[in-house]
Amino acid sequence: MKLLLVALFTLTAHGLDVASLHPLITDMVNQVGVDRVSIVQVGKPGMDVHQFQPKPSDVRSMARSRIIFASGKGLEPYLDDLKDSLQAHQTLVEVGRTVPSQKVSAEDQIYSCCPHHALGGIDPHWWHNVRYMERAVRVIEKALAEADPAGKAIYAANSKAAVARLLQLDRWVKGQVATIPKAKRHLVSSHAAFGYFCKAYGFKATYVQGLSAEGEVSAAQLAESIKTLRTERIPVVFPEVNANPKVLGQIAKQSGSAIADPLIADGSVASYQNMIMANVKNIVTGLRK
Amino acid sequence: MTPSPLLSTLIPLVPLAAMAWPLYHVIDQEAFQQKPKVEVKSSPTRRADVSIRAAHPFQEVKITIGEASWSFAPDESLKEIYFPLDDSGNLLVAVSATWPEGTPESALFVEFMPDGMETRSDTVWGLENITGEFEFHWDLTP
Repeated sequence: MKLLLVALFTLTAHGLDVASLHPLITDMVNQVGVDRVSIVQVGKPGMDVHQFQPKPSDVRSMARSRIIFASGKGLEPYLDDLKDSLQAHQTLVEVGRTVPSQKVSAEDQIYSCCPHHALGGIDPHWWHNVRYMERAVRVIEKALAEADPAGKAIYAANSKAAVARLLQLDRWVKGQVATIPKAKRHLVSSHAAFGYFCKAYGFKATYVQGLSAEGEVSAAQLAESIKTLRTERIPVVFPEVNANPKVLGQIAKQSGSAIADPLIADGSVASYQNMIMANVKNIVTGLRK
Repeated sequence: MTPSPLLSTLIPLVPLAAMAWPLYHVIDQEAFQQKPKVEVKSSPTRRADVSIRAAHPFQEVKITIGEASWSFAPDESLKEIYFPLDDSGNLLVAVSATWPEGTPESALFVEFMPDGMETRSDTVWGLENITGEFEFHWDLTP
């Protein structure tokens, strides 16, 4: 009887109820679940992933969700509190958990995306390596199949198709990167958010917009960044969407570097593929000049 | 006729006397010595997704690690496995593949994706029936 109630509660006429805390994860859950799942999108495109905290109304909106998908790797500092509020029928799945962690190095700490990740912790932007998103898809597939065993074959087929698309995207990225001369593969961005991308696709990473413990940029850090750009003769720097371009503009102006089109660092968009393609196109355009 | 009091006392002692010899052997043993415990160190088990990609449709692919093996059917390209990995971070993986008769020289690409660890991959080449060995290594220092 209890099992029947759980089944009725979780697998309703509109599909398996799940929730997602990050827009890119929503995209992937949609690709694996298709019309068999019904997603409450708590983390929406345009959100500030580093500042976001679910409101009580968000928690209420997830009440029916059997699975709550999070990005993981420390991106959501509120997860421990959220775990405490879960009901018996709910599971929290950190889809980035199988991805190898990259630590923010000691020298890059001041360039972290936010004070929370400036403590020598793990870089949470794992999705910039397309092959890591492939791992995430498999985590999603497994979680959905466990919650809805009747749909296991459907999830497996959808996951296989999603992975095939990701492999194609990864090949496309590598093909695009190959058009940039090796000596020019130097990605200078505001914050330490592209470490996974640089490692996967063979770029040297440099960050120029440092944070103080309070999240502010100090004059000394500004001067240091300008010196780095001049010394390394960096032709172009990449700002980030959703980040204040003022400081980076000041650094670029004083060092004589050009400013490229902005990159999407935090994945706060609806389509993973579009984000990767937009970023790579901007990088290729900026560095091939 | 009633037996004498001496005989009446001795008769019940006959079974006890009969057991004396075997009991002597049981009791007269050296004190039991506890053998020192030998700690058997088992390697921690890890979870991994193993994916294969073949240049031509195959009949069977088998992955072997130690005494455990996993077979891929012709329509399978992914398996979840649990495997032991000791502190050295070295793993020996045997791969065998069979293709239908008449298949030209072919290749099999194997990818190992352990949780929280970098992907390792390798390719075996061969004709119809091949066996290869991969040595994968991960740096496990924290």
